[in-house]
Amino acid sequence: MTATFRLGIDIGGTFTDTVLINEQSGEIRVLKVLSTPEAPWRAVLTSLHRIAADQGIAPSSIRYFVHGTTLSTNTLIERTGARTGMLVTAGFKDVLEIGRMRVPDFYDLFTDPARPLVDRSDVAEIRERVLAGGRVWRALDASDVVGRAGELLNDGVQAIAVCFLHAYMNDQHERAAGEVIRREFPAVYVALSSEVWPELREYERSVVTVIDAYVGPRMAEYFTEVERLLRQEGVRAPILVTRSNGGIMSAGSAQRSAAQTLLSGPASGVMGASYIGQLAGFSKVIALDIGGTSADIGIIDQLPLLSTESKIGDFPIVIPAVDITSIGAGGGSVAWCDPSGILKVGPRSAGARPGPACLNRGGSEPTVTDAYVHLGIIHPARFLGGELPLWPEFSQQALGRLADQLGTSSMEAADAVLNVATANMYADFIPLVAKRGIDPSDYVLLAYGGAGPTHACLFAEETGLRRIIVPPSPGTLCALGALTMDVKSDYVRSLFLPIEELTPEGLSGVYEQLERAASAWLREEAIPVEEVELQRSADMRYLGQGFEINVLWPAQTQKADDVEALSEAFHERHHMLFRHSDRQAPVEIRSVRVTIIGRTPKPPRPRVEYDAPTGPTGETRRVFSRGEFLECAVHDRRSIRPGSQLAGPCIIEQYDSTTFVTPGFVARCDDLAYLILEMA
Amino acid sequence: MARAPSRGARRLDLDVFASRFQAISEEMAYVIQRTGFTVYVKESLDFAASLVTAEGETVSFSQRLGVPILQRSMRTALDACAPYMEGDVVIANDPASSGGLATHLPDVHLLKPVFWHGEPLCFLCCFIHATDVGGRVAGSVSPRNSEIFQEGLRLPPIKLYRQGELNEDVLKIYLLNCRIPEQNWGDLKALLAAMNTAEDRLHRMVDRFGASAVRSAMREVLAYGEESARRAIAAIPAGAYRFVDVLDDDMTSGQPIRIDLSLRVSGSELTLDFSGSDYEVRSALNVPIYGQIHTFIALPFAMYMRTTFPACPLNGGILRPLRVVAEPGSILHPSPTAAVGVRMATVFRLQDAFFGAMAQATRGVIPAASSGVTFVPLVAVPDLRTGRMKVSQVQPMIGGSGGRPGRDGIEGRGLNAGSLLMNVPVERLEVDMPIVVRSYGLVTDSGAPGEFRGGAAVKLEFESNSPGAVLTARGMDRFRFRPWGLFGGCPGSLGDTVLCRNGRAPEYVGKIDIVDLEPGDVVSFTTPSGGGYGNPLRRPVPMVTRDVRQGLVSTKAAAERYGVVFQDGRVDADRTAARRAEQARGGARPDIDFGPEREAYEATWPEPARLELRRILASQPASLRPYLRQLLCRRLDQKGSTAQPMSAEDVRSTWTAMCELIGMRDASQRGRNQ
Repeated sequence: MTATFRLGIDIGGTFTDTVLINEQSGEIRVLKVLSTPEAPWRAVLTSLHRIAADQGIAPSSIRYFVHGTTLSTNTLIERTGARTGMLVTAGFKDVLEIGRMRVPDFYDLFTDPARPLVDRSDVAEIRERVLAGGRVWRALDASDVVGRAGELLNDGVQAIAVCFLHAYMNDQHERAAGEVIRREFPAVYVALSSEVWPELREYERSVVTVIDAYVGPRMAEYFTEVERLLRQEGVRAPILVTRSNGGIMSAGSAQRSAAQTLLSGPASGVMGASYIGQLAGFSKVIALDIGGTSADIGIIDQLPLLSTESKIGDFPIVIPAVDITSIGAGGGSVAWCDPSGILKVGPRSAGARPGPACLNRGGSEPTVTDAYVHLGIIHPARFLGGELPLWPEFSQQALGRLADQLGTSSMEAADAVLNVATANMYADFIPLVAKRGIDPSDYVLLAYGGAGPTHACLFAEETGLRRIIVPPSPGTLCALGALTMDVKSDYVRSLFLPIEELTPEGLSGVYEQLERAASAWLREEAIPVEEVELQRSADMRYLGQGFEINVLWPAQTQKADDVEALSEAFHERHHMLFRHSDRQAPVEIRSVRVTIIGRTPKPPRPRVEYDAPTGPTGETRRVFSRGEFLECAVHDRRSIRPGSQLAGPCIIEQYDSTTFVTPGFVARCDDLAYLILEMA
Repeated sequence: MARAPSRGARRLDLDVFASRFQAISEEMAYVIQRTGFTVYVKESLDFAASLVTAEGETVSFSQRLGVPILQRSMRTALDACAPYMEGDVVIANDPASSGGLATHLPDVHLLKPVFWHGEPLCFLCCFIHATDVGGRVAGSVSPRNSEIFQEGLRLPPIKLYRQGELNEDVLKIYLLNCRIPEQNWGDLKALLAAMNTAEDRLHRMVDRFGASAVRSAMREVLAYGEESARRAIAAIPAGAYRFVDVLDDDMTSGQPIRIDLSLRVSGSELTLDFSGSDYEVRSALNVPIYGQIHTFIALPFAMYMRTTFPACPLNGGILRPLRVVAEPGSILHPSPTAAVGVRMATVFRLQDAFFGAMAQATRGVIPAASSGVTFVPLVAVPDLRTGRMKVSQVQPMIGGSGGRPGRDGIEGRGLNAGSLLMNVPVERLEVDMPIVVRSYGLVTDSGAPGEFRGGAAVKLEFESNSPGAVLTARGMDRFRFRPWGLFGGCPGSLGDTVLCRNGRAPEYVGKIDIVDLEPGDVVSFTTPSGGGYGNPLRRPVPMVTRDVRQGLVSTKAAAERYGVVFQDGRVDADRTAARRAEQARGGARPDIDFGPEREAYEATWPEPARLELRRILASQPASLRPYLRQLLCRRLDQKGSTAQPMSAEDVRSTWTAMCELIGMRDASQRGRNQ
């Protein structure tokens, strides 16, 4: 039988990662190439060519193709999207200017809120008004819409966002506006707030709608191009795209709902971590991703936690996304000395360009990566299997200058850089734990990203975590994660009704309406799935309370006693979260939510090829850590067979990462070839 | 760069400890937010958490969530309940007996000592703004309160827990005196949970590094703060810089409240001398910090430090080089029974005065005055469903910040403690309350002209649709005296309230207290705006063009205020050059422009009259001054309505007449003859 393959490609800021899995044998291959931000599809084609050639496979034998891209995020951060115009309800021109009012950095007299994506002169007020209950107070005049949109387009606007008050409740004005614009100006990308994310809160809804319009045209162009090129190459599988909620969708969907991909990159990583955690038998996992430009934490308790409070820069993203919190600037964090002679690390990052000094791309400031190299943790000639040579002398020079300022040696300085960087991560991690209300001692740490395994033991020692998993290909976990994701989409409807005013039929009616939309979407995606699941939940609160909590639809309940069961579930959940509840107090449903999940067939368990000789090579390396030189055995990851135990200190090298096992830890290789590091 | 004297390896890991101390405070704040009950905690984030040395200096406070708490010393409050045992928790909300730790009664503080093997290690200090602690009005805060007894239950520092055991008696008294006891107890439990978490965290830290290492790291972190602050102060030219800012009035007469600051820089020390400021008033505007370096004083200094040196640690160490002078009986050192509920309105002016003085002492950092207010209109309507009144804030109203060196002010959002608030989505407001918001946005031509323009004012207009609606507001100021412009910039615009009774002509009602609304009534609030920075004639033409295109400046104002002439939507370069040259002949603009209203006031109330008023009050017993100030100023207000400027003699004669009327001996004469 001819072998068939799954291919996952994830475009990151610095690298484009590829994972190829043989669907029959489970054999897995990974590849990292530099990203090509000017024309991101070039890196996709390069990866395809290289991995196909290496493995001698035909593109047509790829049966499952998932693609993750940070294009929408980068377009947003770099402000290279379409000039966007916005139609708003008259009287509310400044919804983006005023925002939620709080300034970003209160202590900085020069602080500025993020400049809105739509210039104030590109905001047009439309005479229309819908009231809170959905009643029309002032009817929309379609000719007004055509006139104002026409003016904006004449002036050079390329995409239009329509954000009317209370459109989450009654979308008739937005739909009418959308229809006339699409009719009169068919070439223009139009985003309606009631389509993008119909949830109450005009600022947050406007932000995601405007982002959708802003990045939409570029995303559409990109996916059209990438699909055309892949077809040319002979790839016949449907092109699937990762999304922020940890699911996938068709490329066609991605073109229509660009805002859904905003946080997809890091989301795939956490999905990969969740998948690996499950295979390794851990349901509570803290996913630590350290790359060149960021260090991120995701929390998995059975499933990855989701958040509706994500942010990109200063922009709130209320569309559900895998919850990821940044805990620092990663390997590119710059170390410096303040005027009091105190060593500091970050918050500035050398990023991918100019990057750490050792990359020799013009960076001359010492970074955390330079410290790894200088201390002997990373071997400069074996970075990415030697494909990207590093320049240790530049690390030494940069750290030497820092050491002079600090009045110490470059080794001591580099060691201290890692200590300070670790403490910075701790300072961001501890509040996160408090915010989520979890006890980290129940969790295992899963380290990935190029530098995750390098820093994992240091981080674990600092935070008191006792067990670490290093997956087989930590540097390309996002691409692997992409291959494991289900087809998934979320639907919301704001209600704002006291629960006693709801009839069971009324409530079911709303849910069924959302479920019909969800099922229709899944059918149109035409992605083969093994089973379909619909999840209901509701955002609820006690009347008058200033915040709401999300309550899962009680599992056993169907139909008749829905309302009461939901009430009961709310009281219980409230009690669980805050240790108090009040069964007498009136309860209100703010929004109902439906999530549809189409389970995709999972790839076979990744199997690792042990293509290096077993046993110790005898190679050792001196690593300076915590004030002393350690004689570390150096192992090739491909030589470590299941069942082996390696006591720290030691170094485990592999193509896409280096694991530093500190003296307190013992590494063992489990049956699936995962490294499990445990505090001795 | 000159290197500081090396303290060796200590410097390599100082930030390691600083990060850990910071994490402890941040962690407490997240626990408080997650487990707290009331809207104040969950949404307004009006709470604080900090780590304090055994000596009472702040090592860290939460900066991501909540409000700042940064005091030079918590000594008074800590000493009040000494000695401490493990498991003790102190509760306090009374300003005077806590040494200004609490500055109004809703801020209920908890203090907990942390021990290690029986030895004191440090303290944890948290507070939460309790929604209600009793008193005359729901919510406990009203500008018209005249004594603290109207503002709720006072708790001096006392032990809520003794060695882990709850003092039920204290709790019973507290909860009996609150309108929402269960919620208040819920919030207190959130603070207790946060402090327990922090205690665990500290114990683990000491376990790993040793108690002496942790204690000495606390000292080092404070010393680092001090060193950073001294370096920053030493860079300011030595000298005395005076700035007087005013609140519109004292709520009991038309007389403004003066905050008179002399900022003295000498070497690496900074003295804030408020000696010339007004005496305490008979409304809730007093600021009970008793001449200490309280958060309210620390905050603008911390903002200056962070702006000039972003990596600066924010801890009690940075306050060591500061000194504050405020005489007992003044508005910053009021009597223990003075009403203090709305002290924030005065605090904004303190901060303005600090920045005003610093603007003279430094270059390129300090912005023109921010709008200088955070006023919160509230609407209450009867709720037939619950049988209670339903109350909601309409929107916190702030207004733009001042123009900055090299950068415009922030539109619609100030740069003061009010900027920590979030607004309410209009959609949520309309779902919750029977009102329709007609508009909410920036006001054209409101941002004060300057080379760097002041941030625009915000206007909100709403229609009330319920019978029996009641509108109130607190914190309204800058409705009479403008936020000042700096270095040639113009002063900002004034706040206002307009009431349009169903179908009738609009009335400008200014500051409101309580207004009954009928269905169809329309109210609009306008905030003040930020002052301008630098001469508007120097504003680059493209920036004026952008303002005009964005609709923030009209073409008329572009010509009149900036000298930029538009013709058919385009800049007419020749006429612009001519107009700018012509306007420049008008002469130099003042370094600080307070606006015509303040000039007019100072013309009617020249210095001698003001000094005489002060002298007379000074001669009276401190406890009577607020009352006498009210009586005298009301009489003088009537006199002041004549066109003549007030003379010292007018003040004196009015006083003498008043003394006769109330049968009091004129003690001021005795002081005069001595």
